[in-house]
Amino acid sequence: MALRHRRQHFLPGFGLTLGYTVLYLSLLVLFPVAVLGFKALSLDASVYLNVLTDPRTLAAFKLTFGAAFAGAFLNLVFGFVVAWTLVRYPFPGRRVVDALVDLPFALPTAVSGIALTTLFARTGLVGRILEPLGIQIAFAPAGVVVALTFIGLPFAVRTLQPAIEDLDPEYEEAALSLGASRLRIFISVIFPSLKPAMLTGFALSLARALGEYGSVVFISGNMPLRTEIISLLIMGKLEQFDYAGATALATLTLLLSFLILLAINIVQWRFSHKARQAD
Amino acid sequence: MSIEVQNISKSFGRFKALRDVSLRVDSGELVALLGPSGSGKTTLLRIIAGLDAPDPGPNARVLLSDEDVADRSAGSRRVGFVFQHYALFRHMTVFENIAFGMRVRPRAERPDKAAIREKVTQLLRLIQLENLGSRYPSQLSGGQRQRVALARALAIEPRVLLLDEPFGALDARVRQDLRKWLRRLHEEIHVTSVFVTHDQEEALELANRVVVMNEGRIEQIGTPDEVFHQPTTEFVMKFLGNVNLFHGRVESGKAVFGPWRIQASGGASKEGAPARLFVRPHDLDILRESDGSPVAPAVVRRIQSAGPHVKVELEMQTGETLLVELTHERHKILQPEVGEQVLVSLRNVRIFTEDYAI
Repeated sequence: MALRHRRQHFLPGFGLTLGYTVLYLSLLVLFPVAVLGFKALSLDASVYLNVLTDPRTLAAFKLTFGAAFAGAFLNLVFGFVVAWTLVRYPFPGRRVVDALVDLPFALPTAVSGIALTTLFARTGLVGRILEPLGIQIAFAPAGVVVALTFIGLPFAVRTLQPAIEDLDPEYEEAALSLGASRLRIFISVIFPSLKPAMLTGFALSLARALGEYGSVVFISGNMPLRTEIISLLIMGKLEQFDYAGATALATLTLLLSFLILLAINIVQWRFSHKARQAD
Repeated sequence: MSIEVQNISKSFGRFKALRDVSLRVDSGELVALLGPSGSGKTTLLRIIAGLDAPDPGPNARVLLSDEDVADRSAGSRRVGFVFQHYALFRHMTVFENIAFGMRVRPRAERPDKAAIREKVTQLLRLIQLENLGSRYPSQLSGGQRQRVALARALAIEPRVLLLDEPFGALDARVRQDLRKWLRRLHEEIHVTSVFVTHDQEEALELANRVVVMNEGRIEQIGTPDEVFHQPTTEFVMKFLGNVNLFHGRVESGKAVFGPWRIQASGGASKEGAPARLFVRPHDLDILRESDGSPVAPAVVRRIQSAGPHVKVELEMQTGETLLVELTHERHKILQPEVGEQVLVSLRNVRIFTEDYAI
């Protein structure tokens, strides 16, 4: 019975590849998370309560998630502009600019952090101009946003680029000849076609920002209650041998991140379902 | 409403897509721009629509209803444009696609919801897709999509309708049906229309007038009859249907091609000038015995009788191959066989020498 109902696969090796996939994911993702999970379950509820009521933790949560969202949003807007320019307009040096986009991928995050700090500190090239105007970037929450935007940019650009390439200019021309304004064309024709890619770019950029550590610790100044991010707090707890506290904090962060990404994925499924209907 | 272009040129880098083209399309006409790919026909259409700008020139002008539209954007020209691959908005239903042009108008000119609904319903009826308004383009067949694209273009009540290879992406059968349908539609609504095609049959069947284009120039403008029966250039002759070519010379005022000596009416050509004779396959006949008219001997090489005509391939003594089309009746009477020696005679021919056509 079971055999008869098995679907025929025309590509051989389904069993092998599935087995490999499960093993691979287990070793790389599931196993470390499971260890954390076991450790987290063995903890007393009071540990969580302590962590959750600590104003330092709450401030760090607010800053980490707030800055990550802000950075992802900035990347969505400006990443779109960059991707659009790279795809649609041939200009001299386009390849160089295209390669530049990947730089935040390749640069060690500590290097980016130090470079950004140097730039935005009171004596730095940009900081010198901004600080007299009352805008403090380095050693302020804004610095965290800058760092998270920097490291997330390639994710937004690289997911939007192929989507824009697939967008035939014919659609815009059709809308144009029907009398639509430029803004209207963007809202009604371009944006709906790019929505899934935009969401993916946003989610990737956000996920990357939530896990960032290296660059932020340099530019933020790590002031408790003001510019401390969760990863740093976890590091601090580990250094003080407060493994239970670190675990609780890590579990909460993981849970929250997972829920956010899951929500984005659900919206994504909705989009792709609609897109499939429309395809 | 009329369309007129004057002295239009267009280059893309070093490639000259259009070279000094002028054309007038009168109100209510259905005109075909016919030519091979790269002949500039689509570029001309896009320039009329305002999707491309012509090269600046002192006399270059584009007029719609005798009004210069050089400074007007594509959106304000009120031109209905139908794309080869439909360019329907994928995330919008058929209804929303058709309504798009009305919904994007500035608030002051925008019809109210009920008026839009009525107009769309009316257009859906016109394209015979009344019940499919809520479908997405992906749920339609190619022919249906093309009709929706047409309805979307008509919804803005365009002054002229421009169609870029409207049937290019469809299979032969659907193409036939849609052609007939478009012809009837044009008779009904009489909007001035220009369509681009590389299919000569389509152009001859559908258009009131055919503009034959080649390498960025207009070769000939005329009714389908004129361009088919009285082509003024070799290119037009070759492009519109199959043709046999003979090379010959001018001798004492006559063009001589083997056994055939044809009076050159102009008679102006130089003695010994090269001449080329074109004859359509259906203007050749096969004989068993000479009927007094000049004939040339040939051998039957191949016979293909499936189709509206019987196609016979002959080999001349010079080694050249001739294609002859016989009616099925004629074929029944003659019953030629492969390998048989026969005689070929000519009916209508066109001769082109260096400086004139007969």
